[in-house]
Amino acid sequence: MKSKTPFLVVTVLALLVFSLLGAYFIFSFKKSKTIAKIYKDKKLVCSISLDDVNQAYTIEIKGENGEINVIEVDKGKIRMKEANCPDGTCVRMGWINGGLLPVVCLPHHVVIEIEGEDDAEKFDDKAY
Amino acid sequence: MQKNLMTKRINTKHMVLLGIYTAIALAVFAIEAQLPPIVPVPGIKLGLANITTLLLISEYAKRDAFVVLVLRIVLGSIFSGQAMSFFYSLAGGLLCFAAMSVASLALKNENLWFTSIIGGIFHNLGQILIAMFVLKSENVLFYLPVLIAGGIAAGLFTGLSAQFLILKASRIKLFKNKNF
Repeated sequence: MKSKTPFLVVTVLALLVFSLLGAYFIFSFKKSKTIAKIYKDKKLVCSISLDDVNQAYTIEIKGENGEINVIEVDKGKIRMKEANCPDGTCVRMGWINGGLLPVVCLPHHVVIEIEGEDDAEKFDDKAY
Repeated sequence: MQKNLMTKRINTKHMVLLGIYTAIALAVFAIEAQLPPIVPVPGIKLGLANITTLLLISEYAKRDAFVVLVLRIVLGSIFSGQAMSFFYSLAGGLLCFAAMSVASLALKNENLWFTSIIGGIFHNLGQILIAMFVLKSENVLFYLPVLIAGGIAAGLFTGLSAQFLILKASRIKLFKNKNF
């Protein structure tokens, strides 16, 4: 029987190339208008028009069992500044500024998404 | 036939062996949890405990692999103390197991690395589905290409580890009595 290995190697390389191309596209994508939306437990906590932010400030999102996520907002960008979740991946993701990838804190169910649509609310509200 | 199956189930040696493999998988799982995440993307990890699943699928039986996998996930979540991680692990683990079982039907041990890559990809697929469900966010799907690439890398590593392990272990005839 002929070895299947070369065929398998080619399959894996093709898959890898496609996924890396997709990842490159997603990472380099940039939206023109940036409205950040913060969700906690599927509920919208606040939405911020990032372009209109002049001075950096932080938002604290508290959950049950002492879950704390501190989100920092600056002109055109947003990040998870601090979180007391076990893995800390959300903090390590750093700033996002209009890409497709949301910042996700899996243990605390916090999602920061950026929307590019103009029809999204333009108000700048803070929820505590 | 039914009686035959029953007596095989209560085989003490079999039970002890599965217990040992569960302990090994849990230890590997616990040690890996102490390592800092390599890439700042949620859900990407090496999945070293999958080496046990691969070993059991290829050298023992799929049923044994399934038992050890489920025990490891349940106990692992209890020990790590995170209720949510149980669902992520379970969805990823079961999809990974199903995909690897199918792949292992067609592939021999020399291509165990490929079986493992398939498992890695499906594991991440399962996790992303749960994340979409839990967070109600379709934007999580944009992580898919990154997670597929991560699954390939992690799968290759664990697959080759399992392959080398089986190669070395068969020389000292570790799996000689695998049929109990």
